Amino acid sequence: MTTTTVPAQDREVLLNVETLRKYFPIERGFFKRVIGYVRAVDDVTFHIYRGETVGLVGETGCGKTTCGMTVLRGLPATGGKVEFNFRDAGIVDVTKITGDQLKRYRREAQMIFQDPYSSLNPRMTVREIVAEPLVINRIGSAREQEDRVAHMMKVVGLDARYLRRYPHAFSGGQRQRISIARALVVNPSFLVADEPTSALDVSIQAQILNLMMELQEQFGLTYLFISHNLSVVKYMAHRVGIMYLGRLAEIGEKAAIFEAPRHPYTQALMRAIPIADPDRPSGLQSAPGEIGNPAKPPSGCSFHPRCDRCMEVCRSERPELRQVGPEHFVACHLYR
Amino acid sequence: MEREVVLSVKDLKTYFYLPHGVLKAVDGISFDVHAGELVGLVGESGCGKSITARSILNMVRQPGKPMGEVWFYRDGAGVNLLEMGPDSPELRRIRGDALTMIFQEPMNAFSMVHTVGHQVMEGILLHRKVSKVEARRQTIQLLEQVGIANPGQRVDEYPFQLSGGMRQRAMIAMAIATNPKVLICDEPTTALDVSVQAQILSLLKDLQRQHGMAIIFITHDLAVISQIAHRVIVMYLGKIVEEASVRDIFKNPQHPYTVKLMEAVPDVALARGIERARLQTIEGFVPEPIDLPDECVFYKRCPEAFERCRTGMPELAQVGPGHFVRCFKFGNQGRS
Repeated sequence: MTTTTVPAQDREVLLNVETLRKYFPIERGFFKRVIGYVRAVDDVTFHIYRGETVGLVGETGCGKTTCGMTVLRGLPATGGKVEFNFRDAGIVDVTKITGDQLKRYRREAQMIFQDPYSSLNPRMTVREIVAEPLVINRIGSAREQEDRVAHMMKVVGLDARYLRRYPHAFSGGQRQRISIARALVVNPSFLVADEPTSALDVSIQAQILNLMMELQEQFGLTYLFISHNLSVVKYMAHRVGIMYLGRLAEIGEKAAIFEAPRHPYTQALMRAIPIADPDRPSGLQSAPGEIGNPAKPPSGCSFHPRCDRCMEVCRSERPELRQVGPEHFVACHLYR
Repeated sequence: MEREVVLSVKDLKTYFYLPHGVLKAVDGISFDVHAGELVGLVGESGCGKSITARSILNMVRQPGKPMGEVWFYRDGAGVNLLEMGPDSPELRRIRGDALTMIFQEPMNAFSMVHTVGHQVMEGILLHRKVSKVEARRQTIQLLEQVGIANPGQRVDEYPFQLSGGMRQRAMIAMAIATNPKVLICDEPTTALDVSVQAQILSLLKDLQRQHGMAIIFITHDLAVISQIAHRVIVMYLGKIVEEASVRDIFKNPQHPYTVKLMEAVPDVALARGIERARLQTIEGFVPEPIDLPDECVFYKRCPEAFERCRTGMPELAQVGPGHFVRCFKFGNQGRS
């Protein structure tokens, strides 16, 4: 087994997320009276080292996509900090920046979206799509932009002859390569990939995952890899965070999360994933019931109604993230 | 396992007559389904697995036309479903009664303007001579059987009031209401989260055990199929390329396409110790099945292709007990 972590001496924190919150108001009536909040991201704390891939896993509605969007400043944060370590300007809390600083952050931090069918403008040619970030940021002359775009096409494994075509002429895998080229054209250091392969077939998914790994090595990229597919995350990530109803339930090294999960929710999730091996029955068990409503999360620990090890304290008190091992944090009252 | 054959597909061909050519979505496939058996039909997008399901039920719409034979056996007598008119009363008596289907997206499969109970009840009233009161009683019982809490209340709710998992349970209730002999499931858990998927899959397994029905399970998810199928059929471009017991497909795949497909699955790669290494990919992409040259369908992407593969399509050859492969590696004759 190769090393699953970045060597210790290179462990420079690139992104530090602290008690990040994103609440969406629920409005009612003519005056849009606020009657409550959907706590999509609620006190999420984690960090990402430079050159590392952190997987963010959870079921529909757990807030993993919102978390990625908020980290990128695609959505304004309701509270908390997102500290980013700029190559030239040092550590800056990006939830507060504006103007030129924000523009620079948007060059450093890019996104790859889930659905390559709706994330590319059908009226723009591939050349226009990939060049757009350069045009917006006024990077280089028209000639330099042209060269840069042609270079990016080669990097992601697409023929430069395709530049004048429109997205509809491409398959899902090729479109995802175009989105990756667009994300990388401004030479970012950090990428948020939101379910980049869930719309693709297995053999195409393998191509895209391989490409992402190659690019990571080639350009020293750092990934926040959001997915509901645990086997893909197991393959891609160094460390994995598990989210449940807007909160981080557990985060740790991949081996610890997959081999020795501590949070009852992580354990339930592991029992529920089918493994592609008929000799290893995965039991197909899962926690009873369904994920709760993020507008009205259960009291105390939000997982307590489905938890098989629920205690009295879990109903009333919200567990905080506590360290249970090196780089291993769990939010559960079992580990006090 | 020598059990009675309940469904026999013989040389099924479903062609779509399009303005720019004949699209051969399903091109000459044959297989048997035994009572109490779960047959997995796997393949990537466009391999013809969903069209196969629709052809079995004789519900392919124009310009598509299924040809060949689909024999359905009941009480010792067989009927060819493709001989009946797609809207004929004889076929409708079988479809929705002894032969039912579950679809991928439970939202689209339900009528929005009728209650869930009404729609489950419809099947019972249509195929069984019972009163409305009795049908409603049976419906509530069915909803309870598929694990819907408060069935007495849910029966009067509309589909939009149920979560995705609940809707899929209601659809299963609808499909098993008439105690079918064969149930076709087309990607029934693809739209669901892993923990809900686990619940639905174990429900299907339990129901199969209780009722002894045969299930044809269509999916692109190899992990799911490894956990539930007895026998697996791998399709590529409208043809069966390999058919074997679930163990043989995963542990001893023979067709180059199956071998490649398995190596593209992160789970399988991880199980073989390929950590952070490259996943195997299949070069190129699946072509559109219009005017294909007279050669093996996988020839252009096959890593093991040789001269003979260009001469025609190989026949299915037996390579072990119940293990069939369509590849010239196994030395059989080409078909002109």
